[in-house]
Amino acid sequence: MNDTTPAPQVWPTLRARDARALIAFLVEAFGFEETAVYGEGDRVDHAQLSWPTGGGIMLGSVRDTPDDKWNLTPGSFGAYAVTDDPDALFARATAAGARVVKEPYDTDYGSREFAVRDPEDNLWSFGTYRGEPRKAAPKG
Amino acid sequence: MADGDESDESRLLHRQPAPALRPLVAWYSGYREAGVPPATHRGLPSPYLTMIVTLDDPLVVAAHPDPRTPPGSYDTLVGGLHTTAALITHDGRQSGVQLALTPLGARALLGLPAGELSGLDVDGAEVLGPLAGELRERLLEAPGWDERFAVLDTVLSRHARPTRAHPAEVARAWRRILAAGGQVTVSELAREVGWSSRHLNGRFREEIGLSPKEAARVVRFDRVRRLLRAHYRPPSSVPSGRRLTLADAAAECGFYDQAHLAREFGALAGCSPSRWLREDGAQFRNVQAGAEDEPRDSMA
Repeated sequence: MNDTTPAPQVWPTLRARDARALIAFLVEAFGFEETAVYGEGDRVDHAQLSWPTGGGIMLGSVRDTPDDKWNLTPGSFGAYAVTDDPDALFARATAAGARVVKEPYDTDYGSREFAVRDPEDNLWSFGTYRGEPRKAAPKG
Repeated sequence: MADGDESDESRLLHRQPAPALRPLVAWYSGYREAGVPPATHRGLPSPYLTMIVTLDDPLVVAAHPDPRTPPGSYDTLVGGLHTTAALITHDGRQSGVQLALTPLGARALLGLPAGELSGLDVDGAEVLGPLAGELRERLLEAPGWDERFAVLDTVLSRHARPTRAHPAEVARAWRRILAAGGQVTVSELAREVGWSSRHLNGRFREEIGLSPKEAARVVRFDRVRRLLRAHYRPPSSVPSGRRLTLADAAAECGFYDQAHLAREFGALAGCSPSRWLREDGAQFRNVQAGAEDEPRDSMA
């Protein structure tokens, strides 16, 4: 990577009913770049779209499983913030009154994460996962 | 724990990695022995990839799981999942640290899926680049075992890059195999993740480095051998504690019978269960054998 722009550490996030169609729309209509789209068939487990001048969003298909750790309603945004110490941040957030959605847990991709709602019901998640490296900018 | 002057002390230590690393590294061990008879250790198939960083003497692998890889000597080594034993020899001295890497964590730590190392042992620098040398240097500079384990935590935390590139279905199937002690069929797994068996076979192998069926065999084998090591008592011994026969262990871990267990041992370990137990008990400790049932601290 020759891009020295700092990576975004707070990511807007969303869930989509038709994630592949929405990704195509966001790329076509706004000019996002597909950095990563993981998942099989219609379902997208995780996608990262980069904004050309910096930053980006993360999204995935809406899930109808009851154990969904991050049940954001399509049509609304949440945020994912990178932190190196999720347990300390979880303690601080809950002490201040954040409502627990998911206590800190280890994901099988090596990130430790938790999710809470703020007093206005916005959904926040925090974790050590820093996102995928952006593709190198095309030359010329 | 103070290590003091440890240079001529034989020991094997097991440690848990820092919390943030535990999804990626199941355990660390550190070993040093000197002035013991030359010996051969079996590097048995297990559910973890192997990473070894040696200290004073290189690691000598007399036989790799893949017979096409010639015998060799390594300062650092990374090995993928495998279904036959490696043979590691030493001439009376050996020292280093071993790490058990989870297959789903391989992308984050090694930058590649575990499938790319299937059945292979490679020089650490081939997958870790300059990090392999840096790690070894810093381990050699560290004055004691506490400091060496701290070096592993620091260097690996800095290096790890969690990624979500592996298919969620494969992760689910892998966790299911572990939870079931290998007692689950490929068609059950395929049904549970919503894929065809054929598709699951292909994607699982690409990611993990074994087919789901091989993975289930390795997990079952790993379970039975840890059970035997913890509780087996030869028929002639005076009973003390829980007494477990080979037939009991076979039944408990899902083998058809004791003969089936013996065949699986022959295939995966290259010897009979009783021979492995004898070798394992006679030696200082088979470092490869893992930490799961062992005391977490000094066994010296």
